Amino acid sequence: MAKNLSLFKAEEESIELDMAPLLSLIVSLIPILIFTVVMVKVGVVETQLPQVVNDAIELERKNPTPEVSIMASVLAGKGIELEIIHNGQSEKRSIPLIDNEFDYDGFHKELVRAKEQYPQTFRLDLRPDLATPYNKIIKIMDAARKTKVGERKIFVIDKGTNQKVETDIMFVDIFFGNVMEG
Amino acid sequence: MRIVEKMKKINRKATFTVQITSMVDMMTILLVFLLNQQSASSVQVSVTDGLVLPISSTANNPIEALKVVVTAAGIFVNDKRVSEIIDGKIVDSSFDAKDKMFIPALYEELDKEAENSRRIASINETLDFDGTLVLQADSRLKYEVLKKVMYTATSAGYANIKMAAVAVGD
Repeated sequence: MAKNLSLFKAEEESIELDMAPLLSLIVSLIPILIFTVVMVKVGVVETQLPQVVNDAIELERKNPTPEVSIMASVLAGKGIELEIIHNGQSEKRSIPLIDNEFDYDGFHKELVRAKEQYPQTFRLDLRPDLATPYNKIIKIMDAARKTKVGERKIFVIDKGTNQKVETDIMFVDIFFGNVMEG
Repeated sequence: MRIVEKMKKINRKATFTVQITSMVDMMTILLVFLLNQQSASSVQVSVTDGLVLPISSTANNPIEALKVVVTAAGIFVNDKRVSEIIDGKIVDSSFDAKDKMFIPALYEELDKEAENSRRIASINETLDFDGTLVLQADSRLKYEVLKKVMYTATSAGYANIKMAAVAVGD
């Protein structure tokens, strides 16, 4: 009898959570979130950099006559021509088209080579010809911006401590050198 | 009285409780997913009809700046068309008679915006006009069009041009 009584008592004390208000709240929140959700994320081509790298870039920006200037001429029917001018000496490297498409990997490798030679240079003078499609210009800029995962890193010298700082940043200061040319 | 009680009893038997626990679970998962999808950036770049942005590995959020949209149909500043594009080329009537790179209507709009920004910057010291412009251009356009837009923008004082692209990560 006592056992029966205790069972009966437990059944009486059990409560049921009222989920309805919570559900109402969620149901009203979901349409709002669906309407405001960003499915395509848009970014801008820019970078945030470590202090040492940032300082090196600022230093280069302040220098009106840099020692090294790297220029990439994009020719829609031919390919990319890279020209490195160091102390008045010009060195040209050509990256021809592969199957009528720009060789982005080849261009990237040449830039890595150039960056290893001149690690303090972050500026790239990009000169596409008029027939170059915009999406290909963006791909070229992507190839120039950073080293790829698994590639050897670039070492930038910290002017303050004279120590080498590892970075994957290559050419972030990309400007269109031929915009003002008629 | 007995009939009423009997009917009440029958009615009580007929009521049932809907099991909403699994529905709440589903809704909670959906809610978390949607909250996660919300952009962390306060600045939104709206993509207009017919505009196909290029795809880039950039991971940077857009910044708050004047937006110039260049689609296959025309050049827009603040949703106002300043120049027409036909077959991927800016129509000849858009150019200055002496300078075939210069688009006067675009210059006027940009100059007006620059003037506004400078006036605001003179009142509010926390703001500064740095000539930044976000260019939302269609990926199918040729550099010829963009060069003319950038040339005119630079002439109006917007020399710091950020190109909007669909970010896909590395």
